[in-house]
Order: sequence, then structure tokens, then C-alpha cells
Amino acid sequence: MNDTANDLAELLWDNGPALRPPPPPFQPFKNLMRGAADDDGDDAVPWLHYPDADTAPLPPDYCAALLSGFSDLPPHAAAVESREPPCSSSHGAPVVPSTSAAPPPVAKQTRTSGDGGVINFTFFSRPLQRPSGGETASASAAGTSSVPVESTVVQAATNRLRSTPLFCDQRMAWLHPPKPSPRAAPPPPPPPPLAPTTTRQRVDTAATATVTQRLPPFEARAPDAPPPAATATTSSVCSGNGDRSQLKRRDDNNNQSAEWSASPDELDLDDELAGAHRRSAARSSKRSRTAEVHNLSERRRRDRINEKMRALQELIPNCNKIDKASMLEEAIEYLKTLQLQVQMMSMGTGMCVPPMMLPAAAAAAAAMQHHMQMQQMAGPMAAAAHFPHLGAAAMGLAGFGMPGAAFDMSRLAAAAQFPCPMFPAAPPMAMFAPPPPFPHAATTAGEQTPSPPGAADAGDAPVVPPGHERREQPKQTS
Amino acid sequence: MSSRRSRSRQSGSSRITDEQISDLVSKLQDLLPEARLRSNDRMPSSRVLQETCNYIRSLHQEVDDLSERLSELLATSDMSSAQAAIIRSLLM
Repeated sequence: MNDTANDLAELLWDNGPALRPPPPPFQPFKNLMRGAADDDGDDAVPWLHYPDADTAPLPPDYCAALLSGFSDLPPHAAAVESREPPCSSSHGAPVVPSTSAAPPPVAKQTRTSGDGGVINFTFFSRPLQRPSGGETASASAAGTSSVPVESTVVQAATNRLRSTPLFCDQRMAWLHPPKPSPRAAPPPPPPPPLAPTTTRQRVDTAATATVTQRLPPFEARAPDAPPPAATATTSSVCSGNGDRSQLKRRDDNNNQSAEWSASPDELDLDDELAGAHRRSAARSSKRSRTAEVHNLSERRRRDRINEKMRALQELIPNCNKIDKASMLEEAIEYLKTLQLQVQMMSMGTGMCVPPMMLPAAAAAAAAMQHHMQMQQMAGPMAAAAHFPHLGAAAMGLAGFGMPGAAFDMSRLAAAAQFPCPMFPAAPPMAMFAPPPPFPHAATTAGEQTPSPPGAADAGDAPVVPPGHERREQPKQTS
Repeated sequence: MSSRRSRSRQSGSSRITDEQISDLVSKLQDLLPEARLRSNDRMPSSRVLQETCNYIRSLHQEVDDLSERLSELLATSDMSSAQAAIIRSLLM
């Protein structure tokens, strides 16, 4: 027992970080196993103080636990677990150990069953034995009729390690037995040897059911080749087991070997973690799907916008802005200046443009649209800055003593907001136009359009120097 | 989780710029003649950008036409040097 305890401790270590411990315990276990097997089919008895029946039940519990866990998880998960015991072990140390532990017992049982056909052994052995050979199973059946049935199912499952559903059923059958299982001390002894091998395999992670099967032979040294397969199946089942199975295992472990106990805890943790991972994965997959769809549509939208942005950038001269925001600001300013330019040019051409008329028109417009001008003032100046030549034009107007220059700008700004106003407003302005600075212009204006009455006021305004006008405008508007 | 967090961070930062951009796009929309007619409903930003491109092209065309006319005016009309200078400045 001292050795076993040590072994157990080692096993625990194995489950955790280190695999090394397993080998030493393993050997002892093997020795024990061998001894037990050699001595009697009762090998289990020495190890397990509990009767054979107890041992048999234990596996069932595991199965039940597995089944419960599986019920939540579709067959796939169960199948996966069963198929990839090694993998599970690699992922979660605990799970693997448990699986490994389980298999070994089975192998032992099978052996024992072969030897004495003890009921306890039969339980474990049957599943194990059946896969390995019908002989053991039959013997176990003889031992206990009820047990045999369950065991047979288990065996089939073990044989079909791959078929998870079968396992589930078998596990169900096992569930009833599980309670007794804790008692079955015998099974534990066998597990230890197997466990070491399994642990090693787990370490390999890559090792699959086939690996486990190979291991069993090692453990088995015993005659039955089939037992290994059975052990593999059992291991898978163990991995699949839920918390319940773990609890049962713990009990079993206490009764049986330390290996079992250690493995169960780990298994429990592993199972829980695995379940959580699966659930989270399912949820995350749904979320990710919707997110992907959303991202796709969003991406398309952004692509479209980016495409337009690029086209816009090509249309805007000297636009080196990279980020969208500054690009759009640039576009807005450019659009305003373009509108301004068009207004000014259309004024020039539409009116046949003696510039002096512009000032007059501007004055009239100013009188009529103080508010608009005020609002627009900032805009036009910015536009002028943006477009040097426009600014130059304005300056030129001002320089010529055209008081309307400032007004012009504001007017243009207003025009920018209201595209149409320019021309409609123009005629009246022309009438006032006869501004003092350019007599010629005045004459042309008079010729072009009949001077409306009341234009006189506006006409006076132009005389004021541009700077003054600008200052005055605010006052007027305000 | 980290990826999700970073994503949310990105989206958060992009949201800020999104607001700015939507703001600018609405300003841009206000400058569009056809958009102004139906300013009640907001156009999708891609549409606004498309319309802006079209509008800028049309304005370019208009500027070209006007500059042509102005140059003709400049050539035909006997204007003062000041007027000519102004027109030239407009044509630049």
C-alpha cells in the first residue's frame, strides 16, 4: 500500500505537469498487477478491499457521468472524446489520466475475468474483454447476469470506441453500477499500470486511440490483446465523464488507487473546462457569424465610400489629405470656392461686366441681404485664402476703388448658399451701379438696365472705401 | 477576448471619426444643389460623395465655359485696363 500511495502521488504529479512520475508508479503497479493476475483472478481484491461487484459498478458510474455530460453535448463531443482520448489528455492533463486509469483497470479486469471470471472483474472485464475476446465477456456474464448485460453493452462500445452514441448507452447502463464501483478496489490496481502508459501517450498528445490501444498491450503484458482496446474505450469514456463521474471516481480512487483519485479530479476539471469551451465556442460561433455578416456589409459600405472619396480627391487640386475628415473638409471648402468662382465669373460675363457694376450690385445685394452676408463673410474669406486668384480678384476690385469688392465677396458667399440670387439681383444693382468711381461703368449700367427707383441709397454705399464698408456691414447687418 | 477588445476599441475610435465624417457629409450635402431640394431626408454618405463629385465636375465645366466667355469679352469689349485686369483675375 505504501508503494501504491507513492504511486498515487506520482500519478497525481503526472496528471499535473510532470509525466515522469508515472513510469515509476507504473512499474510497481504492473508488478502488483502481474502478481495479482498471476496469483488469482482476485487480483483486484488485494488492491481493492471492496468486492468485485463494486469495481464493476465504478465504470458504469463513469459511463453515466459521461452520458449526462454527453446529453448536453451532442454525440460529436462524446465521439470526439472517445476517439481522441490522448488528445483530451494532452489538452487537459486531468482528463487523460482518468481515461488512462480507467483503461488499465479494464485490462486487469479482463485478465482477472479470464482467470477467475469474478463478477467484479466481469463488469470491468466484460467491456474490456468483449473487445479483446468473447471469452472474458462470457466468463463475466456467467459471474453476474445483470452485470454482464451492462458490461456487454460497454464492450460493444469499447469495441466501437469510435461510436460515441453506443458509449452513451453503455454508460447509461453503467450508471446503475457506478455506485458500487467505488467499492471495487480491484479495478484501481490495474489502472495504475495502464495509467502510466496512458500518461505517456497523453504526453505525446498526438497519440490517438490507436496509441492507447498499443499501450494497453504493454500494460497487459497479460495475454489478452483485446483488453487494450477495451481500455482505450474506457479511457475515452472517462474523459467524457461529467462531474458526477468524477465524483464517483474520487470515491473509487479512495477505495482503489491514488491514480484513480488523482485522475478523477483532473478529469472533472477538464470536463468542466471542455464543456465550457464547447458552449462558449458555439455561442461565439453564432456571434461571429452575425458579426461577420455585419462586417461584410459594413466593409462593402466603407469600400464604396472610400472609392468615392478617392474620386473626390482626384477632383480636388492639391489635396494631399489622407484622412477622410480633412478630405471632406477640403472638399467642402473647394466646393464653396468653386461656387464662388462660378458666381463671380457668371457675374462678370452675365453682366457684360464692367467691374464697376459688380460693386453696385454688391451694394444693393448687401442692402437686401445683410443677414446673409454676415453669415457668409467668414466663408468667402476662407475661400479666397483657398483660391489665391479669387482673392486677387477681390483685391483687384478693392484696389480699383470699387467699394463693392468686399460686398462682392460677401455677396458671392451668399450666392454660394443660394445659387440663383446673383443674376436676379444683378439687374437692380446695375441700375444703382452708376457708382462714382467709374463713370463709364455707370453709363453702361444705365444703358443696360433701367434704374429702379430707390437705388440711390445703394449707389451711395459703394463710394465708401472697402475697409469701411466691411466694418459698416456688420453694423448694418447687426 | 483581446481581439474583441481591440476591435471594439477600433470601432470606438472609428465611431468618433464616423460622427465627424457624417457631420462633414451633411455639410457637403447642404452645398449640393439637388440635395438641397430634398434636404429633409438624408442621403447615404456614399451618395452624397457621388453627388459631390458630379457637382464638382459640373462646376469645373461651368468655370471653363465662363472663362471662355470672359476671355471673349476681354477680347471684344473695349474696357478699361482696370476692368481687363479684373476679368483677367477672374479668368486665372
